[in-house]
Amino acid sequence: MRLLPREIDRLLVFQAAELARRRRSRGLLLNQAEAMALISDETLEAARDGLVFAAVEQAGYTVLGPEDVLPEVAAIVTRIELEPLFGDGPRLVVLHEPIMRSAPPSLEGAAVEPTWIADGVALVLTNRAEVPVAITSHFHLFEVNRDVELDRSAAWGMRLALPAGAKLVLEPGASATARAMPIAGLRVVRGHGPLVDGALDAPGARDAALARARDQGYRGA
Amino acid sequence: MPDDDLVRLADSSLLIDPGPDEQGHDEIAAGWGGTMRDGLAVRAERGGVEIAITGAIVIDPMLGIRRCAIGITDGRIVAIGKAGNPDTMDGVEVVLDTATAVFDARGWIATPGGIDTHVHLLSPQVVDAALAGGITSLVIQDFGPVWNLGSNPPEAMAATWGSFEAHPVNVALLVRGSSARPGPVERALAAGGAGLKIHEDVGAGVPQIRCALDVAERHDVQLAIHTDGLNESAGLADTLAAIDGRTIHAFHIEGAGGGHAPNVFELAGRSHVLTSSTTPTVPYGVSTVAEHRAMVAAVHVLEPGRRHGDSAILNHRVRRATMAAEPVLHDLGVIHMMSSDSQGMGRIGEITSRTFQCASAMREERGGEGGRHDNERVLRYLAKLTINPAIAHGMARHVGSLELGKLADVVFWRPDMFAVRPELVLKAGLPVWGASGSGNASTAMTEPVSVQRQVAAYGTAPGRVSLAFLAGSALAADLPITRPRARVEGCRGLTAADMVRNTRTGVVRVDAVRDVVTLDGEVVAAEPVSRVAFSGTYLLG
Repeated sequence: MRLLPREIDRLLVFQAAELARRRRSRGLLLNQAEAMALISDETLEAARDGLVFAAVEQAGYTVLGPEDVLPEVAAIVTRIELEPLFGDGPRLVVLHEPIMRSAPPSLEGAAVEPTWIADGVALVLTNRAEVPVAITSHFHLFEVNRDVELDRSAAWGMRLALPAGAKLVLEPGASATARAMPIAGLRVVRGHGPLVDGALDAPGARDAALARARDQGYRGA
Repeated sequence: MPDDDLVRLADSSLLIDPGPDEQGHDEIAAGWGGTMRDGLAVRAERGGVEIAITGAIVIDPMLGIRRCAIGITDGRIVAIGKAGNPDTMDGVEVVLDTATAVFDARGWIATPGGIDTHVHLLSPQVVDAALAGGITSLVIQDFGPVWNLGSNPPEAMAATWGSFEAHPVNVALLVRGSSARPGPVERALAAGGAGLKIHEDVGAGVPQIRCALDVAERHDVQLAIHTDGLNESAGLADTLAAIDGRTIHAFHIEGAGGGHAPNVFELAGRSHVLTSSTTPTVPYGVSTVAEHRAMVAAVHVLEPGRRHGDSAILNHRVRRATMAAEPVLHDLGVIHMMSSDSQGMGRIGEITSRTFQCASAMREERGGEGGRHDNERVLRYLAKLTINPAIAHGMARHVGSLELGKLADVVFWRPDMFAVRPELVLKAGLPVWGASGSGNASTAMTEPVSVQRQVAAYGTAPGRVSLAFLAGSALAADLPITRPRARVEGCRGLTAADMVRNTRTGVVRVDAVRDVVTLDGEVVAAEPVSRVAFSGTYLLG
């Protein structure tokens, strides 16, 4: 057979799943390892049966329900990553809470209003670029993309009042009123963009940076 | 159901309150659009730590339970608190720069690597099992399937040390202290030892105890003892007289692992006797007595029913009452440490799970300790497998907690699989063990995901991330090792008061006639548990 390591891996899943299948056939509720193995094996086999990606993914959510497993288990099995072998090769399928859910969760979240962590200062931002612009929590707003129109002087030393990792996404032509708060710490900005490289509160720093911004065509400078 | 801010440890009855997130709104968010970019939470000038652990719930016997970051440089913990860029954030303790590697531990618990002071290295497979159970320091007393009970002779010790070039664990070797004269003991110690072991199977009488303690005092090392279960030349009182108030570490204090029958447990509760349990009797389960009758005979080469006397000594050693008392004395902090007794009756991969199984069973039987969480109980039990064994064996300057200056041996757990399956084990801040999947896959976590060796467990890395603990007389020994050497120290004069979160003393009595154990006159006994936490909900079995 000249099996490759990844095929040996497949057999490990099968062996664990087969143990789970036997235990299930004796009427036992499955534990964490057993449940994960059985879901994995059945999902991998769905691809072997020739199902398309979405159908294989869906199959992963129909193997086990909460009634099939020990009381703690449905909540523990939060995520299973698998690479079924499809006609066009191995493809990554990620199952999210496959015991609790009966179908994959939608990745298209409803529009979520930003959660502002401080009232701060209200700033209006308008994206005049032809591409979307996403602005993250700790970025120095003064240096945001030159085609975003905002009062750059008011944005000096400010960041969005968003939780870390959240983004304000402005589609081309879109406007938003954002809450901004002062950058904390020693208030030294380096590496955000080409305009600022030093202490925000140094005498003349803002005016010099505004002049550079105007020279370089930053809107609202 | 617990309050939203409390975290349940796996399927146990234990709830922890992780406290406020010390990052506040300055979370270190990894990934696309996260904060871990130059100028945001990291800065382009040096001054940062080399490695940072961010986002974890830290459970540490010295630091307590905190949601904080840990900074690591040169393998040691150098900063604890909020992580980030002091240029743009307030209150930063763990400075991140553009060369800092970050372990994003959000959603994980971080504990110090465990320390097993009772390792029979009867086969090298125990090391993998230990790492998979969150144990990163081994105090070893054998090198293979030989009757040794102490790592002797020098040639074998050197080979043992050499083999650990392939294993990313800190190591200390105990040499045989069962010797009525100090010559062989001191020679073995100087050849690469870090402490002494007395075992009744090679002699645990008064001359051996006196001699070994004299050696221990001269070299500032610990003596671990398995006392004379036959009471052949000495009973408990004689052993105590030979110890003469000096510090000693009494193994498997309950007694089924061996020692004065039926009353070795009476060594517990005394100030100068540091005590540990071993995995087979903890927690006390409905099968414990039955298992021990088979186990003691198998391990100690008995032939009950065929050889005269073997049935009798087996009956003396396997006692329901002392087994039932053991979890309660752990809960009260009378017993200081947990250990495995690997392959000499114990299971090295289960030290962590069994310690917390005991904690969970005691939570259920004896109730909470006030308040809505079990932080103090969790920390008390964690101390038994981390800081207390480190203190007892003179290793606490380097391991046993996540305090500043210590080696960054850290175990990460998902809360819902705490003490069962570690997500990642760091040695000196580098990944040596943990969960990963099929090598060909497009993600690191594609099934089958196994808990297995990681990068710093291969090649020459184990020697870079591990310490050799040695007695002062062995620091310059000719050993085939590349790992840094650390002197064991501060072993003598220790008392129960030095045992973190487990300082209770008292008079323990084993009443063989009434078949009970008492502490200060009160009967102590737990009900046997029929289903333990941290086990069948998860494991294939």
